[in-house]
Amino acid sequence: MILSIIVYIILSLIFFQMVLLAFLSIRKWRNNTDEKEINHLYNSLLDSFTSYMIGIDQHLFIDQVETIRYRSILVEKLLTYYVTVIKGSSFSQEVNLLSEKYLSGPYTAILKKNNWAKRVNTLHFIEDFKMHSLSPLLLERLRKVKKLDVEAQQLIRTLASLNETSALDCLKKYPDAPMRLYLDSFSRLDRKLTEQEIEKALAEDFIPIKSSAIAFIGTARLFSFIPHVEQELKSTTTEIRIQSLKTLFRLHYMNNPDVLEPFFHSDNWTERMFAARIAGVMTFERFQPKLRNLLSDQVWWVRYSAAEAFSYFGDGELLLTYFSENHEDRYARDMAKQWITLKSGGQA
Amino acid sequence: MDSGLSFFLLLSWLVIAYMVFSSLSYVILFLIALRKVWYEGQIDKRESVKNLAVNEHTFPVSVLVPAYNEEVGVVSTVRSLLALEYPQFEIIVIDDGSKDATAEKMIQEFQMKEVPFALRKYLETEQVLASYQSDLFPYIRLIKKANGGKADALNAGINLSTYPYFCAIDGDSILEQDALLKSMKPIIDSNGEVIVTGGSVRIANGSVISRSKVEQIILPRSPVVLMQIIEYFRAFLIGRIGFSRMNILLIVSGAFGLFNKERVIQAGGYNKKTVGEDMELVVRLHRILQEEKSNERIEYIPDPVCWTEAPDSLSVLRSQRIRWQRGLTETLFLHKKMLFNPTYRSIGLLSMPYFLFVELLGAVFELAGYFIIVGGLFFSLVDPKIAGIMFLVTISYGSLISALAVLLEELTLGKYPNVSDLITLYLWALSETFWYRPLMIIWRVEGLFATVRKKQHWGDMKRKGISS
Repeated sequence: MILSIIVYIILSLIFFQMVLLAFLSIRKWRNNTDEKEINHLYNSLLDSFTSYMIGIDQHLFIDQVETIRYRSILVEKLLTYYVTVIKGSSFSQEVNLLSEKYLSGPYTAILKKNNWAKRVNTLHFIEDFKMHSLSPLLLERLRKVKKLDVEAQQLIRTLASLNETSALDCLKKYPDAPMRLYLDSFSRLDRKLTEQEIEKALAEDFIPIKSSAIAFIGTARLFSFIPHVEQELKSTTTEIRIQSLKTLFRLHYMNNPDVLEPFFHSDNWTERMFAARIAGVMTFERFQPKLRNLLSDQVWWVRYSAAEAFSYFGDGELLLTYFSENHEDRYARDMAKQWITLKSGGQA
Repeated sequence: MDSGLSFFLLLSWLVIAYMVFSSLSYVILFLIALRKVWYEGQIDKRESVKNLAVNEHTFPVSVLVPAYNEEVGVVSTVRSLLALEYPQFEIIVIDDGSKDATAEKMIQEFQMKEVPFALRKYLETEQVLASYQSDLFPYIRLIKKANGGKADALNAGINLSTYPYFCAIDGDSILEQDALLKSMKPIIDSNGEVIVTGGSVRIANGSVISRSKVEQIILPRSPVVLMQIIEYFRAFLIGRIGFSRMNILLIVSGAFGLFNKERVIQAGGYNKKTVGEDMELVVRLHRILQEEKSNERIEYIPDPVCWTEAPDSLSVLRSQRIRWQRGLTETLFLHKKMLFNPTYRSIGLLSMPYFLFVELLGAVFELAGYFIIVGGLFFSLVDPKIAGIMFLVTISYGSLISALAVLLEELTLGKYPNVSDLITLYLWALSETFWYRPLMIIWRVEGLFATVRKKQHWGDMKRKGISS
């Protein structure tokens, strides 16, 4: 009895697998055939597509594409290639026209479907092709978001790329939102809107957005905000102070070096480290005695940054050689010795 | 005689129950993994990581390459790493007292110069003899140290590394160009809550790899390698993804893993006293997370990030499997406190018992199963019907589950391009019970015994090289 049951179970398992194997084999064969045909059509369309994009012939490509099989797949593939190869082409009128004409319908349908992966891919393409007509649909989806998962994060990025600043407002609902998401959103807005949003964010008490705005000033090299950043060095929030130091370090510029002085004596080692780094990259010679003291700091990273800072000065090598022999602290001597020979910028 | 027969009867039912239970656990893991692998297979990877590639806020990574007698492959491995797409990384090769010209090859090829280095001693290691920096690529470093084993070499690399995350790879692994980006994505998306990511490792034998890129995926001809491909599907696509979904994954492959350095240092680094240092570290990190009641996670991504050369001879495969089994035994023994301990929640109650009964003791049960089949059919030790049931259950446990893994791969990722590849893999999977699995069982049991002979070594794989 048991033997028969087990035999039946195993036979049904084998039968199920055989059916699945047959299905997958046929699917693979069909996919391979489709892919071959798509690649063939893609290659046959490349010339007329190029002529269309550079304005030589406005009709041939449209005539071909109107009647072709796999139209939306091919247009998506061609446009993806174009925006990848040509810098700034996301904003091209032709990309916008073609994507709105041939992709907005299929994309609207995909966004309403229950396939997570396809929806996320589509959000990336909407961003690449700057499809403004889909903004209302995306905003509606954003209103329904309950969790800041991968899809919701991409939705916010896509909306920011379409200059929808309400996407940033929505982030306030999530105090744990990653800083990267704020930075990605700021960087996608056009320049004028970015500056407006940064000003708004700096006036906020909401730490995540304020800290992200300060970080973005450094990333986007927004020098006009330097006085704001220097002001934030007086903040009572450690996170904001450290972020401000990081930003000044990235900018390699500050109006008032005096505000750096207290950070050489900070209780927080990250602040001491950034003070050393800033003094180095901006070659503030007046801080050399402070850097000498930091060479014997108890934290390895501070000693490392202080020695690296000396390597930026004109007489840095001389000073490092001197410290490697004469500094009273053994760790300081070791670190100075290392920086005489170590090449800075040891990174890919 | 009767008592002997009833003992075998009891043993038979015990083994049958065990195999049915284990098969069911695989099917459950398969169902848990299915959705994740299905969706990951459809995601456009280029689109999803392209932001990270150009963003200066993407965390920098130190790539650690421990090497022992790797003069044949070390230069091509490092050259392949130069092609990685990542905003900021450094490469640290750790020559663990090689007896060949591993260090000399590196020094010559990358024009390296000795630099004094104020080494931090986060982790105790054997003596570091010298450190070098490349003149051509300053982000390539080399440490020469006294021999101390792979774990010790990795610990020395951690001490020298400057970035907050490190990626440990094997000396002859080839990383996909976007491997670091794909592995870093879960860490960034989770705002640092993911502290370790592992990626699927694929077998490169047979495929065309050029300049760190898999140009063409071709199935190898060797049955031994084909069976390992199927085994990897079973382990990675069913086991690891399923466990990762429940945050109880205990293994991140030594061939590729991305770790939060601070967390690893807090945990004490790699354990030098086990040959399964990769698994032991992950179990220790889980233990710490559970003890701290932390929300941090260890995650696995189904996408292949790393290609490795699999052994194509039975003797090398045997030594590899004995080493793996030994590593597993040592890890479970070291952390026996966690077994069935509700303090460690699902790690203690689910994954540790799973690894003990399915991965470790499974070989013993299966060996008993084969013994009963042979004994029943040829020596009347048990009723031939019972032997028949055992035979069928063994086939479904071995071959059918592996065949299911092949189908799952095709259903979701479908990395092998031809219909003939799928059918070849499927048919070889069905043959597993009859030749490959018995070999594995014998070697795994050998591995259990090998645990008592405690001698660390690097393994003795003869590299042929997989990249041109």
